Amino acid sequence: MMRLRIARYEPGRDPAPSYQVYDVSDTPGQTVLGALFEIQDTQDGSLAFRYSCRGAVCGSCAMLIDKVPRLACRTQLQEVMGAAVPRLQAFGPIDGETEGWDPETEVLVEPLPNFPIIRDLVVDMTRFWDATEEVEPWLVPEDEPPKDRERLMEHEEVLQLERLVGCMMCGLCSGSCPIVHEDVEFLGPAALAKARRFHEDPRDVRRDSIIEMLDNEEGIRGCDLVYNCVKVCPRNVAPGGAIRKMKDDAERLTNLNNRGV
Amino acid sequence: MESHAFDTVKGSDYLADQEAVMVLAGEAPDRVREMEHWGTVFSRAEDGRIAQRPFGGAGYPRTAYAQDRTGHNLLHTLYEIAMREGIRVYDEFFVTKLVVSGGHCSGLIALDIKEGQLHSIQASSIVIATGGYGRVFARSTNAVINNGDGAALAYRVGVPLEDMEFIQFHPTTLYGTNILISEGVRGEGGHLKNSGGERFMARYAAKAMELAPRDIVARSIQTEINEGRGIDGQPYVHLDITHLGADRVKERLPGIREICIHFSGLDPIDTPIPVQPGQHYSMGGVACDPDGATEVAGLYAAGEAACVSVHGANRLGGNSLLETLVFGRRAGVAAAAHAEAAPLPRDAELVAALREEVARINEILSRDSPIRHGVLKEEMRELMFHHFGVYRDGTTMKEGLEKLRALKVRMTEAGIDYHGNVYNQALIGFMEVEYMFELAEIIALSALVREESRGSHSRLDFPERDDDRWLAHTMAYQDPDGPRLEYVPPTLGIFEVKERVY
Repeated sequence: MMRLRIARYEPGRDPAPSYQVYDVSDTPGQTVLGALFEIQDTQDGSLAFRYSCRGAVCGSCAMLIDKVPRLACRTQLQEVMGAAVPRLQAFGPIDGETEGWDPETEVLVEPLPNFPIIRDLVVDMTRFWDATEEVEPWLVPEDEPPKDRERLMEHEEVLQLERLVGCMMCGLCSGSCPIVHEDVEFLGPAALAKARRFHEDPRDVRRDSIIEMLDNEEGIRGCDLVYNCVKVCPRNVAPGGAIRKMKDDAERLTNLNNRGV
Repeated sequence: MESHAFDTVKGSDYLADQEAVMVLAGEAPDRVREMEHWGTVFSRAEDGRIAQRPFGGAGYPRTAYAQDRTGHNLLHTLYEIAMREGIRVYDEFFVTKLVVSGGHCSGLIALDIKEGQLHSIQASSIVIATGGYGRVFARSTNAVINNGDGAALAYRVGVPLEDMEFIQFHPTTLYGTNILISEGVRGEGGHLKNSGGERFMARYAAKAMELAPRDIVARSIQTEINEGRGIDGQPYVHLDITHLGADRVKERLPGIREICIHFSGLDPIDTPIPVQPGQHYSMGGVACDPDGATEVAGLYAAGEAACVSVHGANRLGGNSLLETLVFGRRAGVAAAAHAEAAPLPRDAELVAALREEVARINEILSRDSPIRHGVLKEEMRELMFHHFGVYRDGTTMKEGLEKLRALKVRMTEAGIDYHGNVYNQALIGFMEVEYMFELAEIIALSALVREESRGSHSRLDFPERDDDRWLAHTMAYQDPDGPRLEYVPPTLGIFEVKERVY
């Protein structure tokens, strides 16, 4: 048996968030998501959480597990207990005590920080999707595509892009970011990494105008390079690294412009 | 193009509709290029063009790919393009009913999951793109959401479901979570071993060994398990790549290594991977033509939810993503043209349908019973895997169908234990399990009636293909007392029907 302590809350209906304890079977390889399904199917159908693929592909089950933002499907119960966790810079929701939680015997499951709670472990990701759209993350090619043929790309160019293309938009990075926590206007690591993906795409005509568009407080200037996002990313996208490169590019552009004047 | 079409028809064990397969093969290059033009990052060959790799059952390395996540890259490009075009998406709306009047599509009723409100949406065209029904089976590689909702919705408005008995079982899925361990692992030299450490494929396919076709390897592993040679008597065998060495595993199979580490807690560099056959793909689905059109005017289907049919009794690797591109586009174009030409559906019918749905869902919400639909669902999934799985035979299937029907009766007595509006997954789960039971019965009945072996449908009591009796698609229609099966021949005439030998 394994014990989970799960955050329960429906804003507007419950006076305050509370925690509920469940015991689940401890079969080898049992994941946090598997445990949540077991609870929903056999004990308590009122528990709410997002899911789809259960294989770390879709990014739906991002939540806070033992105070670290992780995918529930990719986190095994036994691995959580006593495992070394990435050292994150603490802020509000991933800091401080949780009353009643015994880290030695219980896995703590809470909603992904930095987003409004809809119910229990389900959060409202509207701001995340809006921020993504704001960076205009689609290919803007130079001219009409060649007829009956693909555009050419070098193998090395593809390799270069692969890290950024691998992003599954799970939101763990935003949920781990102290800036997103403080500033709702900040676009966040995922959206900025997505912008970088098109900045680096040799087929995209926008080049440095992407940097210029994002060189402000809501964009890359807002980032303090805390790198929590790099530590929690399940796909090694390293959004913080992408943002740092864009900051360098912005500086280079500013220098160029100054020299021009 | 002709060789792609031929491989597909042969792979289908000659049940595919040959005209549709010609469309698939003919439009394939354009669709791949279109995705590239929209921004998909494909793996590239030395000359900078899109790289192509070999796949099982293919006579030529023709499959375009993006590392080991082609689907991911295509999906995100489509999402990006949808954003660019400002396409409105009703996120987390769950369709509970299609509304059809006089043989014409007039809209649908959907539950806004976040608010718990039912909405009617007027539409003279609807495209069902809800994926397959793999989760009807235990040990599925599919996402948890692949419950076949779309197929069940179409069935309920009189559209036949086609070839539902054809279920592809993949030989190597990870023991425990049944996440797919791709054919590439055997391609790189992985060995399959039983409890005695024996490379048992030598007894089933001495020449091809681990690289025999998918269905043969799946059946071999299942036989080892059935005869007690699973590891420690458990229902799995070992897929061993420890002899490949760390460098090769890290270079060629990084994704698989990640999966093993995170989902099994083992590193395949020094520990064999526990694998078992699992459900992987639904060949059957909503019966439609190569434009996705169903028997209801304005109702279309595409992708794994649909049965065009290009996969017949067995799908080839690489053809599922391609099908979504080719027939997804065709269905979209046809649905848009139909919507422009068709008169706007009358409001009155939707209003009436909404009222009925509100009553139906309130009734479900009022059900108080200790019988849990989540428990029945798991019982059904296990039953389907054991009675209608890799191997089938009349006696086991008859017994399975009886048990299934008994479970289905229990489902009518099941309740739900949460009655709130916001994100009520007890309610959604209940409706999903109802859909799954409906589809399970169709699969079971279609499999039992088909007295032959063809493609993925492998019967111990009828081991041969029987073209005289069964070169035909199964069409399941909803009748008051259960599914009614009819049979229609596939369209032939391009490739001669032959024995399927590799």
